[in-house]
Amino acid sequence: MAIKYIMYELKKWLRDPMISFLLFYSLILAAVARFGVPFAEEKFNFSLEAYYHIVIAVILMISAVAIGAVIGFSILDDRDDKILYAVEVSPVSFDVFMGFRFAVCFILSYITSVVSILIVNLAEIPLYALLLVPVSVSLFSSVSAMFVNFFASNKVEGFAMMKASGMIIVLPIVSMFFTDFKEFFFGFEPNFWAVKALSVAMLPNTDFNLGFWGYYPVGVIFVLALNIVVYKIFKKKVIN
Amino acid sequence: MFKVSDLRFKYPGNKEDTIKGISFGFDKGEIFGFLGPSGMGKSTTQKLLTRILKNYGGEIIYRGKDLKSYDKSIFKDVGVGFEMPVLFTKLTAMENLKFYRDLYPKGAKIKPILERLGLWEDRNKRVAAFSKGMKSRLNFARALINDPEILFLDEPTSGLDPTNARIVKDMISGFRENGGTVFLTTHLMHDVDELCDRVAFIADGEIREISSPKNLKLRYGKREIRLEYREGERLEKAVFDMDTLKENENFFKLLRGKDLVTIHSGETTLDEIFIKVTGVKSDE
Ligand SMILES: Nc1ncnc2c1ncn2[C@@H]1O[C@H](COP(=O)(O)OP(=O)(O)O)[C@@H](O)[C@H]1O
Ligand SMILES: [Mg+2]
Repeated sequence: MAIKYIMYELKKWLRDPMISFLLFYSLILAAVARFGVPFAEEKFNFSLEAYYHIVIAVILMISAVAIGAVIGFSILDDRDDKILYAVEVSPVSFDVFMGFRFAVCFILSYITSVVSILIVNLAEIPLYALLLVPVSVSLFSSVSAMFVNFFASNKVEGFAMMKASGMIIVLPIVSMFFTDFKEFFFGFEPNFWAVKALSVAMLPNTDFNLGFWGYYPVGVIFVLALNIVVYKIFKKKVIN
Repeated sequence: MFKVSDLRFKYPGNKEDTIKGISFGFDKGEIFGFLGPSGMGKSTTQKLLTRILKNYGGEIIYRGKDLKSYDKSIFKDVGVGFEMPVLFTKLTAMENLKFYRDLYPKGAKIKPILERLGLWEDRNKRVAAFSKGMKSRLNFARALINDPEILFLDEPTSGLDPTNARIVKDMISGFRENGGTVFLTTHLMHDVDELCDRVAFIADGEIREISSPKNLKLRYGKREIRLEYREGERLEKAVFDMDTLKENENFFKLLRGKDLVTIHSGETTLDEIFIKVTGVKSDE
């Protein structure tokens, strides 16, 4: 049942040019960074090494937002096609139907982020960070999918919303330039905690306010709680 | 099977109730027609019976228990045909039906349904490329996909050509012959005359009449005979009471002496009853 369901979703995505582009967007971006960054460094004779962790954080968050948009647009399509009415009169509940989708969203976002980081291959990342940080960031993916559906009722509006929700990754990036107490001004931003944990893991010689296990769990709990709150609003909006 | 008492419903944001305290019921094995002009609350009522709309007043009893007391497994025996297509436009007809069948513990065979509806050849076409009529037919097929015991159909023949409307109607009566129960919403009187065991007329959120089509025709009809005949260049009319017809000499005189143009008995059509009962008049 689950496998069949994913096959139908995949067919829907691949038959839509915009969705299939978003599906591979961060992988393409990672490939560009892999060759683009060393090329730029050589050309301008300037090392970006101090910023590698930021490049990786950007790619991680773009993976989450892009896959969130894939799922978000897929839900928008279903709303256009009035599929949720039919689910409503089936033995499958809305929560199960959507829950499955968000599970796909998380897994796909996780795989995409890890693979993207491996493609970039700019710097050594400790294995625990490579496996754990994408968990937190990928949990944000479903928030992004729901966010697209809050303010948009069709794909054109959805595209605008996706760009707006893309802006949300700018703040954590800015926060990465701070390592003193000022960084906590960005603490309200859900991905702040994950990118800080990544920074700690990648920059063992820099002083941070907290350790990996100080930042990381806060991020995971924060994003999980955010999912629950946003889901409640999403559910109201989508079923009317 | 269903018993509805004093059902009331107001859409959030609307001032007035859309459904203003209606009561009716229908039994297993029946085709119950729910008729009325556009915008009078037919689809709303179907959505209440299928739990798409929830905050209603009054009571809906299904198989002896409050509809609200059931969990979602109730839907394994229910098929719903919506007023609009509820189909993935990017998937093919076959992919759509398989997707929906997988939502249920039991399912119908897809091939015979698509063959009957003339869609088998197009099964691998995407729904986006379907015509309006093809979408309607696939939407009907979708309602049958879980091999239901009870069917809710919202204007199943609207937008269909007469041949396909005929096929859909035959499938509906076939469904009933196999023990199925149908709640059929429509504004097309042809459907009703052929299919329904009993009908309710709804107008302005209230039920105006519930009866069998046959009873309605008798009750609203007049026991009279109308003749049209030629009188030189002119066309003349005469009306006779049916109960005293055999003693009426004038009637026999006309029959023998005049060139008749038409003879009609006074039973009404459901169309006329519809107009009378719902107050939606064609002229005036
Ligand atoms: N979602 C809605 N919100 C507010 N009013 C609605 C909504 N859906 C239908 N209505 C109103 O309820 C009335 C009955 O609609 P409906 O049940 O669709 O009629 P029918 O199926 O008999 O044509 C109409 O006046 C319509 O404008
Ligand atoms: Mg309607």
